[in-house]
Amino acid sequence: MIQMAEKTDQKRLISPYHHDIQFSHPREVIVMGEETSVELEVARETWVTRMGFVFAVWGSMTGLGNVWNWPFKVSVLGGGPFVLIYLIMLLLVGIPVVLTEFVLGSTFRRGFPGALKRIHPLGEFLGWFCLVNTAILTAFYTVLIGYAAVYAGYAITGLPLDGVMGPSTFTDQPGFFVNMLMSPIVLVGLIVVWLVVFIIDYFGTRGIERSVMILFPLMWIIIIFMAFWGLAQPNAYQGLDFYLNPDVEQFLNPNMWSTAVSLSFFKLSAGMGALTAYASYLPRRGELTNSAVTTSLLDTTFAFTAGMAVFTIAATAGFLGGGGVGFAFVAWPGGMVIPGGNILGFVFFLMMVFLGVTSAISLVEAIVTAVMDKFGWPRSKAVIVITLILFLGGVPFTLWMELPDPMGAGDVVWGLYLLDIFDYYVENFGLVLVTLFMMIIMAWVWGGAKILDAANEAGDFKLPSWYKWVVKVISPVGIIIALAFIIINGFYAVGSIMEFTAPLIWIAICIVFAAILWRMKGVD
Amino acid sequence: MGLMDIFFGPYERFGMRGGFIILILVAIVGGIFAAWMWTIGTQPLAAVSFMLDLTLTYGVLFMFLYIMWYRRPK
Repeated sequence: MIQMAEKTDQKRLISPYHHDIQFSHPREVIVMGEETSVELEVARETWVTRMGFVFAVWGSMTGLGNVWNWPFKVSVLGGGPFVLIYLIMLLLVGIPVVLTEFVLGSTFRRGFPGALKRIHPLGEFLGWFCLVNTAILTAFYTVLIGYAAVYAGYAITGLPLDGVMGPSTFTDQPGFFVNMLMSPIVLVGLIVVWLVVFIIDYFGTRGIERSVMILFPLMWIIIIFMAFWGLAQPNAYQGLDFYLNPDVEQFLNPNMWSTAVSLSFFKLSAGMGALTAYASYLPRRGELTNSAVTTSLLDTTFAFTAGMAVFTIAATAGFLGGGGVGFAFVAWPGGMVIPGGNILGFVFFLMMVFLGVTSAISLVEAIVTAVMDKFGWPRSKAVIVITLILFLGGVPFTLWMELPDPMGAGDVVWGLYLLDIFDYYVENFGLVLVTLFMMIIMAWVWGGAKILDAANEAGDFKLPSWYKWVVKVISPVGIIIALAFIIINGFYAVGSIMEFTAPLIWIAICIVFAAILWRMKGVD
Repeated sequence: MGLMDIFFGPYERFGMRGGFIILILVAIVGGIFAAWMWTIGTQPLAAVSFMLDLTLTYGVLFMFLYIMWYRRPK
C-alpha cells in the first residue's frame, strides 16, 4: 500500500552554510514505498546550488588528513606503492562508502542516528556510537589545529619558542616541535581554535562557503608551489623514490592495504556522520554520484600533491625516514627556510588552521544536527553544550608534562602520547567498524538496489545494475579484510598501563554514551 | 564500455568523450614530468608511478569535473 505523508511543520532549521540554503518546497507531499512506514517529515532546508554542497563537502573532507595524516602514515609505512594502493581502495571502498552516506542523508533527511533509525531500531545505537567516536576524534583533531595555530603565530613573529636562544621554526624544527609540546602554548592554541569554531557554529556559517571557494584554491596553489619548490631541490629524487617507487614486496604488506582503508575514511570524513548531515540538506532528486566521485577525488589530488611537496622537502631537510605522528610538523617548516619563509610559513599554517577549522565545523555539525533532531534542542543550546564538552575532552591531549618512556627509549610528552594512542583506535577501529556496520545496514537491511536507485535518480551518469554488488559485497568485504589485518597487526604496542587501558577507555566511552543517548527519550 | 562507445556511443551524451580527452591530456603531461624526473635521478619505476598516479588523481578528477560542467542545467 502506498502511503502518503504531508509536510506540515514549517519549523526553520539552521544548517551549515545556511545563507545558501532555502526551503525547497513550502508544502511538499512525499510518496513512500509500501514497505516504508509513514513518516511525518518537517520541511528541511536545502542547498540552493549544487556547487555549494560540493564545496561544503570538500571543505569537510580536505583538512589535516591531507597535510598531517597522509605524510604521517606514508612515512611510517615507508612510502613506495602506498598511493597506488590507496587509489585502488578509494575506488573499491572509499567512494562507495561516501556515496552510501550521501544516499542515507538525502533519502531520510536526518542526521546519522535519525537516518539509520528509520532502517532498523539498532541503527540508532550505531549512529550514536559513530558520533561519540567522532566527538573523541574532534577533541584531538582540534589540538592538531592548535599546533598549526601556534606555528602560524611563531612563523610570522620569527620568535624562538623557549627564550632567545631556543629553537625557532626555522632554525631547529624538531627542537621547536618538542618545546611546543612541553609548554602550555598548545592549550592556548586549543582555546583559540574552539573560540573560532564556536563563533562560526553559533552565529551561523555565513561566508564560510565563499571563503572555501577562494581559500581552498589558494591553498592548492601554495601546495603546488611547495611541490615545485621541493622538486627543484638537489635531493628531490630521494623524496620521489621514497614516495612513489613501488616495491613488489611492499605491495604484499597487509598494513599498506588496511591503512589505506582507515586513512581513506579519515580523509573522506566517512563514518563520522558529517557527510550524512550535509546530504540531509540536499534537495530531493539532488545529484549524488558525480558529487561523491568529484569530492573524493578533490581530496585525493590535494593529498597526492601535498605528499609530493612534503617528501621532497623532507629529503632535502634530512628528515626522510623519520616517520611519526609529528612528522608533518617537523617536515613542512623544513621547506620554509627560504627568503620570505616566515611569510610563506604564516600563510601556510594559517591555511592549515583554515582547512582544519572547516573540517572541525563539519564534525561538530554532525553532532549538533543529530542532537537537534533527537531532542529538539534549539541550535544555540546544542552548540554551547557540545563545543564545551568537546573542548574539555581535548584538554588531556594538550598536557605538557613528561612521561617516562616504559620502553626506555626516552621520555614522551603526555599530550602527544595520548593523541597518538587515541588516533590509533578512533581511526583504525572506530571509523572502520562504524562504516562496516553502516554498509551492512544500508546494503543488506535497506537494500543495495535501493541505494542504486537513489543514486541513479538524478545522477549525472547512471551506475550499472551490477554496482549494487559493489556496495553489498565488495566494499564490506574490503572493510572486513582491512579490519582483520588491523587486528592481526595487533593493538597499539602495549608498553605501559596507559597503552593497555586506552582501548578499554575508548570502547567504554563509545558504548556507554551511545547506549545512554540511544535510550533517552527524544522528540524525533 | 568500449572506446567507440565513449567517443560515439551512448556514453558520449554524458560528456565522456570530452572527459576522456582531458584524461589523455593529463596522462601526456604526467609522462613529460615523469621523463624529467628520470633525468634528475629518480628511479624509472617511481617516474612511471608518478605518471600513473597523476592520471588517476588529477586526470580522473578533471574528467568528472568536465562531466559535471557538461551536465549543468542549460
